[in-house]
Amino acid sequence: MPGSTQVGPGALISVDGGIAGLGPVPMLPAKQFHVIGLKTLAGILFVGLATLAAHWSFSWIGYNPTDDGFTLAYSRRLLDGQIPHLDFIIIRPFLSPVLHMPFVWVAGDSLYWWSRAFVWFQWASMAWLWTMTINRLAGRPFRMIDCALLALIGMAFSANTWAVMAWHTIDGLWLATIGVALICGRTRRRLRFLGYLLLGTAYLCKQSFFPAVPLILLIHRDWRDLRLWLGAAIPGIAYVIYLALTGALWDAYIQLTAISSMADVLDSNARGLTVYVFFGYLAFRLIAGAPAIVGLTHNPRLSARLGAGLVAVVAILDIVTPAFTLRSLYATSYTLASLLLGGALYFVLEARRGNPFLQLILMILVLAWSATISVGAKSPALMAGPMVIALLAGILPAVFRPRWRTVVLLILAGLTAAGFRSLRHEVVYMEQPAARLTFALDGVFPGGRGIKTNPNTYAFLADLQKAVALASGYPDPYAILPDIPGYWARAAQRNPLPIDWAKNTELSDLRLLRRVTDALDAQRSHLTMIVQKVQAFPLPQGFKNLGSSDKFAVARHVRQNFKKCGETTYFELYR
Amino acid sequence: MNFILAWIYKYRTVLGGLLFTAAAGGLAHAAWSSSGWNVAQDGMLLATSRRILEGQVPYRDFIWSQMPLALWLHAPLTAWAGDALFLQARAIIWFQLAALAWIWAWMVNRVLRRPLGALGLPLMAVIAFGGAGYSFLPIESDTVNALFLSTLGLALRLGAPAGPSGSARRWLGYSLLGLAALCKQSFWIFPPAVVLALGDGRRLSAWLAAAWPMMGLILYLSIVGALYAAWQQVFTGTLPLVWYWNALIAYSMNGLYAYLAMRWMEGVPPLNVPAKARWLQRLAGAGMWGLTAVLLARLILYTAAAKTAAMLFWSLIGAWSYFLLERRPAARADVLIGFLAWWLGLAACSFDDQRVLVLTAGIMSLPLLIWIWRIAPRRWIRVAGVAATAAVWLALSHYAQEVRPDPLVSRRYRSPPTLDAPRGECVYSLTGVLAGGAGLNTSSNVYAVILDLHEAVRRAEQTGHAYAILPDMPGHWARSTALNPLPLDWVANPELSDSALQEQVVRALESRRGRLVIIVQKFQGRVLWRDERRQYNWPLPVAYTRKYFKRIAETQYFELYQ
Repeated sequence: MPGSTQVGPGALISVDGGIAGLGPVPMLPAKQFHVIGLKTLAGILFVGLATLAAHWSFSWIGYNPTDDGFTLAYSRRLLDGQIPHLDFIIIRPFLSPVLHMPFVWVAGDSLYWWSRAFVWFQWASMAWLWTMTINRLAGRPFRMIDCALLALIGMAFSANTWAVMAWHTIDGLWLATIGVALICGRTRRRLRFLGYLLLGTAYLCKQSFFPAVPLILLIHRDWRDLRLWLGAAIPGIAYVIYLALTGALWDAYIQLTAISSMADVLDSNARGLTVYVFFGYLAFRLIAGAPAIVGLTHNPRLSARLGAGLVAVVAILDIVTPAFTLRSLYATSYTLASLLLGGALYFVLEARRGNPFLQLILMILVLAWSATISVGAKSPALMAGPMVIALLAGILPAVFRPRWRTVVLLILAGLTAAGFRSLRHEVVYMEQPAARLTFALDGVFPGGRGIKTNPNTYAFLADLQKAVALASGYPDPYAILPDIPGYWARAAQRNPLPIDWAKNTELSDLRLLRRVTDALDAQRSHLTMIVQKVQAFPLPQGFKNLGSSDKFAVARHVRQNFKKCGETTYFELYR
Repeated sequence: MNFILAWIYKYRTVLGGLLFTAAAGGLAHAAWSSSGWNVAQDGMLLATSRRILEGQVPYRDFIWSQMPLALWLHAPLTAWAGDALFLQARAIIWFQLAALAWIWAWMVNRVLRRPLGALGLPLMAVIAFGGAGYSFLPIESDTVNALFLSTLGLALRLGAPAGPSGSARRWLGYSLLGLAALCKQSFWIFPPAVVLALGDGRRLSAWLAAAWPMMGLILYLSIVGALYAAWQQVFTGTLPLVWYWNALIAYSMNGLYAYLAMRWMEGVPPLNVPAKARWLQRLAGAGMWGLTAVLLARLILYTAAAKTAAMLFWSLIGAWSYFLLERRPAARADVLIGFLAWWLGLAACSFDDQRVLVLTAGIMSLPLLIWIWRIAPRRWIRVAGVAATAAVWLALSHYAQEVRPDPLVSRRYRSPPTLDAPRGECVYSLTGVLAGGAGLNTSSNVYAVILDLHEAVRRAEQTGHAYAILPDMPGHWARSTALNPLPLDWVANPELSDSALQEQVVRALESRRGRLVIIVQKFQGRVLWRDERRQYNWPLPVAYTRKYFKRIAETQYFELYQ
């Protein structure tokens, strides 16, 4: 019967899900429902297990009192009822602190422990969503077991040696990933609208995701649909309205445009992209076999194998070896981006228009590029997972039969997991190797229960407690300069300054710097300043004097204009 | 008379080459050789060559991180040149470079079947010579010797007639390629690639001819008991291939740009973008080459010459890939000459000094310029195009001889080729000041340092002991009255990248404790010309001397330890 399909024994329902007398109730065919149910279950299982395994294995490793926890400190300010941009300085939109507010609210003294679990959850769910999206757009070449293995590889590549901490770029990528999963290959406009809405929230985590919205609208050929533009714009409009209503619009403008130069980012991008783009182009062309390369015209299988081999050689040289030679993917993730860009170039230059796989590659590259727009981490490393999954999806089906694909993926996943474990233990973000992290932060650092660090950082943070005790001898509140922003996430006292991490990265605009120094001057004699004697970044290596460089301009201001009233081993107190 | 004319016509290429070599080499020597002296690198090969004359055996009696043939090749010069040793060594380099340029021009002309007509050969020779000469540091070097021998060998092989009558030339050609590999280890990759590329892979005689020099050297080193030391020293400077690749990969995106530019210009196979219109695609291709030229011009003007050569290297590989992937076998000649040029460039690369890639910049640009300008419909336009491109290139290089700050990147300066001050500032004569330096002029900084070295040496000799100099000044030992008591003339990191070798120098210092005065410089030799006082990571022997020997005196630029 036209317009109907038979699902299950004797059942007959129309394809639009309508049942006589009950109106149009959306229903899925039982087989499709079964598949979707299986996928959902597999997804939940993967994300749950991967999160748990990674969390138990790695979350306890290391803490450095610099950027770790500064998002959580912002969350605390929001919970305290402060208005972002107006009451405190935040040079990125504030959705990321909003996302992490529940943890600050409920996690208690194990705040960092639970916050890290959420970050692992974000990485696991991103890996799974990208795998399913890529599999769907590549024509479903992978079975469920393959998808699980791919997701595992993707998660390990994205997480790599990145610090497990609440971080705006990870939040932005997470929301964008959910958005892209809802956009790609979907015919239902409501889903796509929701997808663009989520994509719009990504730039509220970090403004670098703003260019991604129009680019993805263009890439997915949705740019003619005004409603989808609206969907992507709604979060931004809501943000502006909120700022206008709270009177924070001008402050927000100053703060969000404090770092606007793209020269360094583009320079890093240009340096990172290499001849591997050419290799990627050649690999995809060899795999597709069109236009045929001289000498391989009549041998498409050899051509495909050569293409796969080309990528494999580059991967062994530049991508796989880092895991085993204990180097992070910070720089070599550009190799992945180069290969994928080469693939995109192939589809653009040689293939027919409208290829969904090309759309997918371009979206991945756009998000990877958005992640590179950064002050300190101009690398697409956080998108290494989706990039490697897309490469594998483009290559493996062309050269291996399904059974062999599983075997190859099993081997790759095993190697990746082994390399990942070794990397996470040996290359810890601003820390010593995991084996040397024997000092627990329980009771020494608020919110740090369950986290272990090196002897230097421990001594530094333990000494902070002494400094705080000394400062508590005065009736006034105290502030800490220039680092340790994570302290304020669970501190008994609120931070009296409008900034938690008073460093050049957060205060690059002179007006922002003045605002902080003015706040200090205004509270003179009503505030005790605890100023570090040593820098926090190199703590794992030793104790290096803070110095008086522009990086620590606020601390320098205090040292020059306030009077020292006490000191401990690593801190000085000023009033 | 007719006989003479016929003889001249028959040997016109060789005679033209000799004329070009004499004229171009002589002019370059007259114009540039007298200018500049760098205390870090200049004279190192000649000083080590002197050790050969003193009867020392390489690797066993002294440390040498390269292959040894260049030492023997320079020994006669070191023995007979007198006080103008360095000037004459520079003359030889210029003549070698000029001969190289002519031979490569001849090979390109022959393989590509005279693409530029009668003017092609001299025009290409000027480009090949100018491309290298303008930016090259004219000091004696194993790379120049290896390039020269390789080119000579390649020319003999390409000029050899097919069949038995050409077997002698083939044998000689491959033997020269094998000898080139004894000048510098990076040239090991060249002979096998040439044997395979020229279709001689099945000729055992070709492999034997290329291999006998190496076998001979191994035999010699075994007999004199230096084989193990040679292994240690030659491979100590050989950093991992991955590191080498990472260094080489800078500017590699130009490979892709060049490939796409060729695709657009040639139109086969057609690309989807920018549009199917042929004229638009040609415009895109020409535009891409134009952009590459602008970027190259910027590099020539404001940054290191090595980067210019690296960009040319990758552009050549990209354009060559087009012929390899899309036009083979019809473009077999293009594939062959392009491959030989970029492979020679690869062989000429150095681990520690990427500037030597400049030596092949002119050679690499020859096929590239021909491929680009071949799009022109008439030959005279092609010739004019190649000539105009070359003229602009050489004019820019000439203009870039003056040191200027980069307007886009602050605090970045382009080093002069000599690593001394620009020519106008080199007005201090080294005649009578530096042994072997007659006819050379240098900057005030270098002059002052060399004068001060005399004072340091005088004070050292007053103690009645031998003296050593750390870490630079290798050229001092080429003609000095005293012999260097250390097993190395340039105690710097490029020559001492291995800790075992550093310890060997330290042991040599220790074994002479009490009988040796060590003169240690206070400045960094490489950047002496710009008087930069930046932190320097001194090699281990220097740090060791400062820590464990006693300072007995000092001059303005040196400290004396005993």
